[in-house]
Amino acid sequence: MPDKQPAVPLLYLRNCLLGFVHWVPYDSWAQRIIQDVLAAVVSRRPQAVILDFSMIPLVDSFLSRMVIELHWAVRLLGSQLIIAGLPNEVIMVMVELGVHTFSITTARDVDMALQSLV
Amino acid sequence: MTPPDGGDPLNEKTEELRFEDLIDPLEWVATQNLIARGCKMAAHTFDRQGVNIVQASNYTDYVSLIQTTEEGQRICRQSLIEAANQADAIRGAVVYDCRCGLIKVSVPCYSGRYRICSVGGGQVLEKELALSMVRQLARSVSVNEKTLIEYAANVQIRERDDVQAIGNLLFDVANRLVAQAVANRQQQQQVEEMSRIQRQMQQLSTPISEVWPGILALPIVGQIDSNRARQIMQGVLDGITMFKAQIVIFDITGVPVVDSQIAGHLVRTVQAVGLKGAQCIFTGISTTIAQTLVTLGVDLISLQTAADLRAGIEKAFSFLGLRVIGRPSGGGQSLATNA
Repeated sequence: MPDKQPAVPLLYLRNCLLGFVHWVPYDSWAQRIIQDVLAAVVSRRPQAVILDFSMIPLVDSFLSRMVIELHWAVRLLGSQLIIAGLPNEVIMVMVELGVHTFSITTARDVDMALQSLV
Repeated sequence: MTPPDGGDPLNEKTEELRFEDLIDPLEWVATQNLIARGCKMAAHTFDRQGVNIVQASNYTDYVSLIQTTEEGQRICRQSLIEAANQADAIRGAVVYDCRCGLIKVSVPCYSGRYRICSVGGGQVLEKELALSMVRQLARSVSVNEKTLIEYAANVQIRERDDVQAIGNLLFDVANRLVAQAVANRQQQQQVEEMSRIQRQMQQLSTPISEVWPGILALPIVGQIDSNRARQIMQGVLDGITMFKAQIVIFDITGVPVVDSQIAGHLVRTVQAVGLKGAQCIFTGISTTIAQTLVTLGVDLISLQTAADLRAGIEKAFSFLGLRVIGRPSGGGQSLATNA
């Protein structure tokens, strides 16, 4: 049963997939997030995938690699990835650690992400 | 130890200062218990009205029984207050005979000039109490005679000089503790004041203004070190969140020199703002700074710039799809509207 539960809850809203990433406890969980999102993109064909990271305590180099991998995969499937709601403390640590996500589209929050798609 | 006769060390109205404001009651009770057990006497701490501030230590059954009635509490409190005032007058420990026939000691505790509390101790006898006296006392405070007589027999007998010596020791210890608490409080007040000043300076050093809905402006003046850079980044990110800004204009006209470290700070700030979904525009870059940035090999592709703040605002408007048009009535004022 636990294997069938999604790693990230996804909501289809106005031609967008909305996902809330609460935590990434280990690497294989990150892989499940990628698989869940891509499966949903294939099945729903949304204009964009918005992942809200406002509850995530830390984005390390592994997680940022996962985000970049997901960005390119989603793009190849004809959609776009927007990362929303990165907490200020997480941003500061990412910048200090040199963790870059140059090619990723980011938004202050989910509301801004949705507005950018209008 | 003689308490200082100086003024109020805390710059507060010490008449209104309460014992609990200075000292943790639990810590005081622990010390009080130690003293009471060590000296084999009762000890308690009370305010100017004779009311116990903290839990008493090692009370005798004799006094506890007397204080079960209102009249008993009244006469005890009367003795307490009288003795406390005498002790205050001489600023030292006073041994006295209480209305219950016992010997007690009263020790005033000071913060500067003012008596914060008094510590009472003793509850001993110089010699056995006369039965008639105990019976009379039992009747006057309305307690059981037989029980009071039994408890009176258990009260220990001590020399008055012993009690005075203990009182003097208690005076020294208690006032040292209060003095330490006052010093700690002073230090805490200073730390709080310094934190307040630091916060104010922080706010002054990174004044973020919303010049238009969605556009923030941040003039930076002076040198930028690691601490300040972190403060700027934190302030900008908080500002973007608070004002829901999409563009931040950094005016570095007031930054005299940019070296590799400062350039690194600026680049990291641009990255952080980008991760927040907003954009940066740098204005006021001098020719010297421009040459320095090129020489340092800073990634200039991601750096949006404008000549000055006015140009920066115009650029911000264009990013947001706004343009400035004149009012049709020719009133002389312009407004920005969607392009």
